[in-house]
Amino acid sequence: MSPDLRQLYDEHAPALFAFLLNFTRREADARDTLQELFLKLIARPQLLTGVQNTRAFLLRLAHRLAIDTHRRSTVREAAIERAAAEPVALFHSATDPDEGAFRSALAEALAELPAEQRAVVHLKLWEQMTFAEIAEALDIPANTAASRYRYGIDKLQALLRPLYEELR
Amino acid sequence: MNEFERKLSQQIFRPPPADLRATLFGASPLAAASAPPALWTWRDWFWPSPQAWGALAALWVVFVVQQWDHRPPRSPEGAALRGLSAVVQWSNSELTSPESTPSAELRAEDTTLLAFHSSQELHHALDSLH
Repeated sequence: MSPDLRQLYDEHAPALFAFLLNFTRREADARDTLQELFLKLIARPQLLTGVQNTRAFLLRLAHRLAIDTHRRSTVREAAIERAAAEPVALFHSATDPDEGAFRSALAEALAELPAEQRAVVHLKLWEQMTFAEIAEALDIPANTAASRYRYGIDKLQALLRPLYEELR
Repeated sequence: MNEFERKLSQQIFRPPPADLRATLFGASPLAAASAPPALWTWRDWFWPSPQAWGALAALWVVFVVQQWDHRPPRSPEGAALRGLSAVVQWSNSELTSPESTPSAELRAEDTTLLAFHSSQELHHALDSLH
């Protein structure tokens, strides 16, 4: 086993898990996808050969695998089971109650966005990727990435404005 | 990035499950339990555009089926040659045994031959048999 993969895991797994958790909204799917991604890399480390931006490459791979996982689980599970699933805890628990309330509200607001819009918002806000990088990672045009981000942020702002204004 | 976006970006996500790293890289990693790593699989080859490859395969199937349906019928030349061969055989047998007569099948093939070919073509075909 290559020790580089352990290092790769330590460097990128938190960001990948955060993206997957936010994108899939299901902890089991996020975990399975992250596991599948690293098993792929363990089996075929040459996939990383020549990759310049490792984080962007891994996020792109994670996105594709998450879509595959989602398709499989949609077939496998009844829709009613999906609807009954408990809301996922996205963020670290905060010591400050106000901050905790804001994180809970943000998690709920993110759930209101369509998955692909949420993916763009996540990559822009939490990975600081450019629209060109997001476009490449998600296989969409850069303009689409930009407009999805704008719609997503506007919706989050509308949903969170009262709480956000209160906390300022 | 405005103040609201900055506020959002400062929120910290939960880390991956602690046991996942051990599962992947621990004493008995999942990778070790799985099949030996393949350098190349069909799925990897088809991965970039499985639909495009599927469509191409379907197109080939349609093409082959069409070719099969529109294949040319057996050529009259081939039938004529078979008839000629039968005539030659019969002629040989006539030479060795003058009493013998051609069977009904040979007569029929002979008739077909004469009906479809001029004498020039017949000679040409006979030459080619020799």
